[in-house]
Amino acid sequence: MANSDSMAELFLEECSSLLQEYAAVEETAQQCGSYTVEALNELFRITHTIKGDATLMLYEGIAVPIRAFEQLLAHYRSRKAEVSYQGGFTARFRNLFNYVEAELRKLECGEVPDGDGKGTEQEILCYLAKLNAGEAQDTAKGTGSAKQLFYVAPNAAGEKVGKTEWKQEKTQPGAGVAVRRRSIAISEEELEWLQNIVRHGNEAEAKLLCGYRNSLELIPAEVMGLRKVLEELRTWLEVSSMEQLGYLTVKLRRIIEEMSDSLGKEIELTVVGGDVSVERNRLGKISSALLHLLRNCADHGIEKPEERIAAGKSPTGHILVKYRMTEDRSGVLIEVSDDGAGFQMEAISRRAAAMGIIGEGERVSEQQLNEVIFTPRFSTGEPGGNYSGRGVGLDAARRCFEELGGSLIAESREGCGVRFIANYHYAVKNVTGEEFLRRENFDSRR
Amino acid sequence: MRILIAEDDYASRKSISRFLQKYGEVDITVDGMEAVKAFRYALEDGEYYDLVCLDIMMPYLDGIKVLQMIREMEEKIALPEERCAKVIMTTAINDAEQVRAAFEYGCEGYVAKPIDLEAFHKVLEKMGMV
Repeated sequence: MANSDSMAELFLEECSSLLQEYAAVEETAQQCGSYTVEALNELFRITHTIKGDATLMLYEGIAVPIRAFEQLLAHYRSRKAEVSYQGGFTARFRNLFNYVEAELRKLECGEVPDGDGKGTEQEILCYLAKLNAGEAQDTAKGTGSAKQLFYVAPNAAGEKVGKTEWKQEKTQPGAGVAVRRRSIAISEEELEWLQNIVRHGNEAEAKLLCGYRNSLELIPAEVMGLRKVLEELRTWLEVSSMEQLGYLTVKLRRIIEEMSDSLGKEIELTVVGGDVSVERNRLGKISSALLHLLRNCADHGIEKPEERIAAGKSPTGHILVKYRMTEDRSGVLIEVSDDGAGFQMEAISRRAAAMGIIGEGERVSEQQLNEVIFTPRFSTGEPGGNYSGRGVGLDAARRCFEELGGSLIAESREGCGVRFIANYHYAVKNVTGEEFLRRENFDSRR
Repeated sequence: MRILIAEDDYASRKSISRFLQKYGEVDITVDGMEAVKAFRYALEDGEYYDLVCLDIMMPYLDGIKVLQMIREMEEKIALPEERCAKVIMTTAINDAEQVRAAFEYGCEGYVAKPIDLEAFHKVLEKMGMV
């Protein structure tokens, strides 16, 4: 069982990174108006890799539509065509992307990626058939019309032109420096090993300090030097294993943009506290959970512009995502709030009664609210809605946070909005020698 | 080729205009508002600019706003694509996010300062302007 878990983790990691590459290609295509031949080749390469991985893991639900997409890309490749961004290809591409992303999210939350994939596959194959039959056209007018953009990197040496010395403007540090980023990757196991070593170091430091417990000033300078080294290692470890939550903001914004478009609502997203960091390997789960919550806010919470105006609100709905470290810096508080309609107690009570959670005709109380809405399969929405209504979102979000050792609750005021508050604790804190001493009440005789 | 430059720093302005003089007629403005005015007069006179070099950090109106207004003016008179000005942003900021945003507003090139003149020339060549 342990083996298949780590395989699944590896698949998740690779696939997520491949999806990011998909997104990068799409963004470039959006900017220049079309997918160049190189871009399509890139997509083909990415698709081929995902296909191999998914087939290996027997995730047919993912492999099936991916194979169809590969066929579509092969169609363009064989014609060495350039594809217009505005055409039908982007729509099929986006659908496939969202589908695979949704399946990956299931994996992240410990569920089985059990999507059928046939629907997405059919959509792609139908489009391909239309292209072949000449009923659809999406190739760009030709390489000439795609707008080529240029970027010239700064000339670090400055430039003397004629009698006028080029004034060195205040550039950012590192501007003009060679771009090639040299980096190495270390596996999670190696990082854990390093953390372990440092922990041993901390223990040794603690034992040493024990001897000097009553006279810390007698600690020889050499030992202080070693302590400094240990301190630096600890800090580096903490920093390198952490990532800023602000990293997720781009993704969150994209989702909100897409949802605003397809739901016909105007939604503005504000993110505060992006400099708060969490462990890198937690980011995936947090991202997952946030997306579930955002979907809930956008789909159920924020009303359509007309409704909002009728309620005396601004036509644009607002969602606020706030990150904060807890007072004792042992964990993180995450808030997602909207200024929408709030939980509709009437509808919730009816649904709760129908599910047998409360009696007929009873009303869900404030205290019960948190139990009810996070119940699996609970939803007041229409099933099959694009973003929610399946009763999965809030339950999944809560589970994500619980798996991280935290919790999720909701507050709501009808007509005003909903606020989700989640928290969780950092897994391991690198402990300094003194803290270790204090905590363990270290006995010098041990 | 008709060229419009907007740059608020004297030294930069002199350098860029000296450099571009060999390609055509260069008109110089010292801030965003002047640049917009200059562009508008040119449109009204039918003497379209082929190339516009905009500094981003300028007083009154920054380069990005000028870019937006230029594109709006061109759109309003339904100027055909071949006659629309090619806009190059010149600025000390080369943060990727900023560059991407500038491209989204509709410029064709982004040249970070200090300007690599050789590369600048190559870009003008690739754009088919020289």
